[in-house]
Amino acid sequence: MKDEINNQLNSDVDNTWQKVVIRDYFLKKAYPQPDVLTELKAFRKKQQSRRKTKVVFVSFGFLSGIVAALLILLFLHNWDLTSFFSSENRPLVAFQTRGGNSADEVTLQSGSAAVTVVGSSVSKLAQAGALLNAKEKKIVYAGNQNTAKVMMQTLSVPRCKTFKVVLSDGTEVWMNAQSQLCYPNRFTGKQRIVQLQGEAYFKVAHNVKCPFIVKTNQLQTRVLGTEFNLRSYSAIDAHVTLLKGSVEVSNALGTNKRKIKPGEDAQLTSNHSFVVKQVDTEEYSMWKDGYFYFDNVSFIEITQELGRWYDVGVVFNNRKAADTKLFFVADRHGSLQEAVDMLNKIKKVHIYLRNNQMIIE
Amino acid sequence: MLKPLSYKNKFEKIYTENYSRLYYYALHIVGDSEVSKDILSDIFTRLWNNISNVELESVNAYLMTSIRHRAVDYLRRNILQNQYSEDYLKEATIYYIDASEEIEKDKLVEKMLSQLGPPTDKILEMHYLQQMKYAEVAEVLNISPETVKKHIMKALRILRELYNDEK
Repeated sequence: MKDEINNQLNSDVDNTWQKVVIRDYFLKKAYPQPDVLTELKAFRKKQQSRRKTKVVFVSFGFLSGIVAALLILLFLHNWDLTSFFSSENRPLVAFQTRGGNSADEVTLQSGSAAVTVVGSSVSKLAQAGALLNAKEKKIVYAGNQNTAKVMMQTLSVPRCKTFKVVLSDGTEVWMNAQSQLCYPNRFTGKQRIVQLQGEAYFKVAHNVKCPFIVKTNQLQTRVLGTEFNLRSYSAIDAHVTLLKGSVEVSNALGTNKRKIKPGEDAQLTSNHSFVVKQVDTEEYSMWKDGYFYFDNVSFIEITQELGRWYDVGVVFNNRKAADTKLFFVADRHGSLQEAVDMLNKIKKVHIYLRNNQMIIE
Repeated sequence: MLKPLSYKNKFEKIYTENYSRLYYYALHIVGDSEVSKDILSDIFTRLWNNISNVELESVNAYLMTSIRHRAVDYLRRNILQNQYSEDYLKEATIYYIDASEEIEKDKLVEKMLSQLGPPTDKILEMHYLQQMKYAEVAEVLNISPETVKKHIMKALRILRELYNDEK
């Protein structure tokens, strides 16, 4: 006991390095190593465009110097730095698979026990008051809720799968591929808080006294009772799309808050504020009904979604194709080859599959 | 305006050898990947513009100082409160000064986590990565803030013990 008190007293003095090390450990898990060569190329390109503008503003007194400089620049451009300065001909890597931990089944971690959901581990689930319906691909938390021991549940959905969970308050959550939801088997306290990574569609049970809060690494959504889609696979692609009711979104730091209306989509920008615009909400909710649905969406975004679902990389050898906008609908239960065949029928590009990558020519 | 190829090579060497480590250093402070890359881009631009005066022996210290200033400045302007004490920043700077330090200590964290198991890992992640307060972590996990604190204190203690054992 005395040791413990001593430890507590000393903690503020010499615990700093441990805190640094732990934050570093989790940062490296959450953020992949930067691709240094790609960064260097991008940096070079930026420098080059700056240099061009500078040349224009040099006065005529240095005319001969400029001519010489331009000649050298042309020379370098043609002979040495072509590969360096021009990224136009380089393939554009639009999506990379995560690799490594690619479990193929839905898993549920309940307290300290982990179970694979598609199986028969019903008894373990029952301890947390959960009923599994493997056929309908869902878990329902119901029954003697008030007596069940409170346990944290972490539901992980792999690629090519969706899954539904009905929380203890009746809130329905459809989870998209490569997503994870963390929630208690029953809610206690004045708020209902869950944590999400990836994408999920929420149909929140109405309860004015007990707001429902979804947290992600990037943002937080607070609601009373409503339907919305939350997509947060990466920092540059964090969206909250509202179908019914009203929600308030805020960034992770709570420095920026915004209320949105049905039919609106709030996207978090890199400076931690929200851009709100009217959208076709179908696009953000059709996935839970088993479709890919894109209306006037760029080719790069479509292929990224396919890449995430089928867990394949996406490489554009034809960079110009990336921004082409398309209307495209497909069945999520079909194979990747089928989706690719359909895209090829549009005849704007040619796509083929090789080494677990979609390559766009 | 145009620089000899030797400068280009020198610059690239500095860039490729240090980028990753400096990225995590910036990320550690600002917690945002895009902002970190912007900071690095600005600092390397300045380095490139002064490449003829750059000495390889002192370049690391120069880069680290610049990043620290820019990152702390970013926090001050955008996040209103600077979450880090001077001591913390000093410790972080020492930590990222060379890459071998990081690798070695990351292994200790792994060892500590495997000893403690859940829910300590989740608690540490929420508190140190997402920078949630004790009370917030407590609310998500439905436990008391005191319990959260106990878990964290134990983790820090174990990590120190593991470190002392290695020495």
